[in-house]
Amino acid sequence: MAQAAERYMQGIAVPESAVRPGEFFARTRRKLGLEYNKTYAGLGAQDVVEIKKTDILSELTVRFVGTLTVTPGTGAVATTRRWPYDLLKKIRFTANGQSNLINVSGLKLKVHQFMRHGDLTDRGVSQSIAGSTVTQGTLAKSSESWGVGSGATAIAAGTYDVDLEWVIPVSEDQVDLMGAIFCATSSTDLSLMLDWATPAELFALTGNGAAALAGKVQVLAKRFSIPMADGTIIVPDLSQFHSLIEISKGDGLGLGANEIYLTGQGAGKTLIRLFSQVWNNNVPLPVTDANFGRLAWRYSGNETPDEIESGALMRQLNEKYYNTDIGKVWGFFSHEYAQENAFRDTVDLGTTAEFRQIIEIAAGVALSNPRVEYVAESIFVAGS
Amino acid sequence: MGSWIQGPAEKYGGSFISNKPQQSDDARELAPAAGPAGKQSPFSPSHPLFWFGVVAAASVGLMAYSTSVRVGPASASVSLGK
Repeated sequence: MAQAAERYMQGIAVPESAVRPGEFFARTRRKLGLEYNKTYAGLGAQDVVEIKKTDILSELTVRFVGTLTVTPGTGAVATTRRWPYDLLKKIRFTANGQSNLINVSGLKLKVHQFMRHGDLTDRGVSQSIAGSTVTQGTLAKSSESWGVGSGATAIAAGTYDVDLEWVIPVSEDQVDLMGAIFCATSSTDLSLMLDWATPAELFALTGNGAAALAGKVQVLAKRFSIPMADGTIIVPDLSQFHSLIEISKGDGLGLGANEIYLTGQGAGKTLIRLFSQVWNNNVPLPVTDANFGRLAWRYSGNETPDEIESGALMRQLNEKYYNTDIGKVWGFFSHEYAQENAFRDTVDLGTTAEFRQIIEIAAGVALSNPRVEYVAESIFVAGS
Repeated sequence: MGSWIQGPAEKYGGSFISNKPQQSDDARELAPAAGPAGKQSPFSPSHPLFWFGVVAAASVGLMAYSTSVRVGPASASVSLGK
């Protein structure tokens, strides 16, 4: 008997007849459930969450809920600008032998959520940032609690409630599940690694000031059941992986135009967006004309398709795309390729050799230990 | 089936559809620069030696038809008759 035609998706052989997207979406059932609920490993430590090998996984939500106890003593306690969302210093998600599909810091996941979901906005959610009350661009949700502000100084003694959430987009699109992971196989190796920031990265302590963070971490998974019909499974098109990779670079970053080469460029990858922050003296540089000149991307010799003349223009463009002012206090700026028309605007990394980002830091900026942290979000072939 | 159900090629384009190199708009607009004409057949009117050849052939042809040719003080002639 002739062997049924097979496709290889995410390293797994799947009968050709099983790939029926329309029927899958009609028959599948969404499952939302808590998969991990434990006391967190502690600042500077790591939690490894093993993901269940079942169904098709599209999204993970990590929640930290606990309390921050501040004891200034005779000294003082302050938070750095890494607080609160870079409490999760690194989130790494590996699946099916593809090492680190997602490898970003917590704050990058927060801004990504607002970029991806235009109807999600932080307008009117008030938080304290660097001592000021901010109601635009906090990247916070009303249902979250920071406990204390970001970049807050001379924090009063007390116990503050902390309730933070990060969404990990396993699939690029929660509607059509592009990039979702097929988990129902013994050959699947899935893990989520949560690296917590060290105390020194979150708090600035003087004298005998102390800050203690206690709490638990919960991981909620969104899955979709795999229906059966005619003796075979029915799956959607799972021939893609979705990737969010963060690169941090400090060497050679200076005033004027900086050309930052994209790490991880390769054939078969489609770039969806490229977003960045410049950290200066451990504070993200707001995206203003005073801080940034030309922001552009370039490939080959001198092909420069997008060239935004100054920071303020880029910030306005991004707010228009995302309905959130990502550049105001967190200093994000983004080259967006999917928001208006992904088919038209996404960048094929296989045919844009020497892809690089141009970041011009304005002459008046006093640089101290500058770093650019950028995230390349791409979707790429994981089978045929 | 809903129109939102697409394959990755229809949704993202990019590397899912082709490996065509992205062409530069600037490169298309560049006119060929002035410079050496390159290899051309000497029988082409744009070749510099073409017109020299035409003049040379015409001169030799005329010399062949005339009965006397004079170049400077020297002359040669052909005559028939008694």
